[in-house]
Amino acid sequence: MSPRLLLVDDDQDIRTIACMTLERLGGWEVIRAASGSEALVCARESGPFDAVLLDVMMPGMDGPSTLLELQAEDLVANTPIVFLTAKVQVAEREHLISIGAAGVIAKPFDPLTLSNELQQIVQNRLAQD
Amino acid sequence: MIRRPRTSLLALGAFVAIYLSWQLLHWIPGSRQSIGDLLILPVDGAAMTTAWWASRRCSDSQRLRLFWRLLALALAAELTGDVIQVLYEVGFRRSPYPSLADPFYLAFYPLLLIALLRVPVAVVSPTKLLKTILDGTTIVIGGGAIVWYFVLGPTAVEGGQSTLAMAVSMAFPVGDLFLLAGLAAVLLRHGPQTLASPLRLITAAVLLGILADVLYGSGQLQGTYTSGDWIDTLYVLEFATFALAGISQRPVSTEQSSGEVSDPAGSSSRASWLPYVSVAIALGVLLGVERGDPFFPNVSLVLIVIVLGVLVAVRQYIAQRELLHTQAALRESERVKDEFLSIAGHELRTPLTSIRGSLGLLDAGVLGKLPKEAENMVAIAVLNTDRLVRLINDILDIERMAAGRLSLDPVKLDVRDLVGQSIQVVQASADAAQIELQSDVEPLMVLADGDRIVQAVVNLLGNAVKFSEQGSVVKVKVSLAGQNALFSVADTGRGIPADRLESIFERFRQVDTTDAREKGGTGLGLPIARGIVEQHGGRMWAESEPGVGSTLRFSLPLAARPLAGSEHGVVQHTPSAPRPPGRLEGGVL
Repeated sequence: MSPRLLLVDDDQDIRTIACMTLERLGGWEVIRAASGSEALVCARESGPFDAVLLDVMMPGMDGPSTLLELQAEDLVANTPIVFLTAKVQVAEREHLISIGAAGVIAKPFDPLTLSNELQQIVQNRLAQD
Repeated sequence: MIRRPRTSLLALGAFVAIYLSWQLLHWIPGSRQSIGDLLILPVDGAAMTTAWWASRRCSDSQRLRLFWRLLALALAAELTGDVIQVLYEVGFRRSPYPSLADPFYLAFYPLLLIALLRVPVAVVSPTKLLKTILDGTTIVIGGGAIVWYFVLGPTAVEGGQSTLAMAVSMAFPVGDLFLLAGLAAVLLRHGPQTLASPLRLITAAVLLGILADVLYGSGQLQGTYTSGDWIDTLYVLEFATFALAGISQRPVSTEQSSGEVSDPAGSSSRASWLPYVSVAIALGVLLGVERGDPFFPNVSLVLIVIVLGVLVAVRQYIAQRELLHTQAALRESERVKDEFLSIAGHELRTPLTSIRGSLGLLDAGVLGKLPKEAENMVAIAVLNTDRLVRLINDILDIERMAAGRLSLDPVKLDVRDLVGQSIQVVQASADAAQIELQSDVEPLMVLADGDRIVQAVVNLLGNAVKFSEQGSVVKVKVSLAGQNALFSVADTGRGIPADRLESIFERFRQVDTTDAREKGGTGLGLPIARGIVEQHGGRMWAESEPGVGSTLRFSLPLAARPLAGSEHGVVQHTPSAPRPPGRLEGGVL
């Protein structure tokens, strides 16, 4: 059975592309959510996942808040969370790691390597645990 | 009529020279008084005439024309007074005081004051206006103290004068005081640019006049003054300076350039030293005064000093508050700019992510093989999207650096790793250009943000590759230099002219402006590299011999001593099989 990934991004085009590259090149089974609250619903109904790919800047509930909510409801206890962000400043990255992210992938991502990057981060996290 | 400035200047200078030589040598025989009075007339006339000419040169600016006309009128009043004085002296051989000349002399003051107040000045904020008023008051009190001590006070206690004579004697210094206030009102605000140099000369003239009046007044009191006295020299100089002011007025063609006065930031500091000079002079004079002077008791002395002190303190307080306000506004605008950049960066990257993603999938053939021509088109689109992404990243980086907000995460790193990673990034484009990358790196440890230093080295390498000929070699070296690791990237390209060695580190500067298009650079690589190195406490510079090549060097402070027992190795990075240019990431277009 292929690994299951929850993809959360408010931009539909990015969801489509990320989904295509992750499914075709990475062999993931991707469940998509368009917002933080949708992500919570997905996590409650069809969790747990093998990984969560979470956009940082989203209207309403942003990425970090979504992560905190997921943690509060204990929906992602052993799931590596990876952020997708256009902000690549060191301070930003450190902040995201400090709240429990397994890694950060910069936007715009390269569709050919996205899946590998994600795989790398997930494996590193699992190796740590 | 003499209308050409140079001729006017020569005539004026010649006359002043004649007058001065007469004062010194008395080479004209006859009554000193009459000749002195006669010699003042030409310079009065010159001042009046040049002011009138100046008004005609300002025909397109209503307000400037009015200013010069009023000034000409004031000078005409002075001239009339002098003509009457000459008639008394020469015609009737007597010099009554007060005389019919005095109303004209006195008319000079209000007319000049009105002229000064008609000078268009910038509309200013209430704070600035308050500051101007405080400065003006300080100047007038300081000047007033001097005028009172030398002229008004002695005149008031002087017996044996008619009331009229006393009133006239006191009117002159009082007029001077008002002029001083008027000058302060004009000088402490921002006047029109076109009037700047005439206004400076008018200020000098008025100050000369005030000095002359004070000396004249005290000379009259002591009965030592007669027409033709050396004090008259000051009056001659005063009116010669007025004439110079008239001559210095340049023609004004439009209302726009003269009547409109902008109030640029920092204009408040213009002439703001005046109050302090005034306070200094007043204090100097007052402290020199003997104690127990009947008309100038110590109490008023102390009072004046206190008032001046308070005025200056209040002004200082207001200026300080204004400064704080400006700083706060500046910080706020910095914050807004930062936020804007952050949002703009995000907003630009979001659509680019989709574009880059779709193109990347098409380009890689994930969705099936494309026809040959379509493949080329997609490859071009991918390259340019990458270039756009780099440009956005570079602009954001450079803005962060300018704002001092580039955050670093320094850890102890081996320079060999840094150089190795950098070469890895550039290898593909070097291969495509068939350029060999060689490295010769000593094992040194630096305290640095690895990603950022790699970015800097990549920028230098990218630059070197871009400007190198096919088949040439780009060498990276790192060696120990004192307490620093000295990095150098040398190419054998066309070199950089000596006068451009610094400007290549300026934003969007490339030695040849066509390079930006041909070489596909952002023009920001080197400035960013230098910014990164400087933030690490290092230095970056370029050396070059045109035609032979360039070497860009930078230093990074060492974290500790060199690693013990490490091998000093030379690594060769030979080009691998060239790939089609279209396949490159971050490559040359």
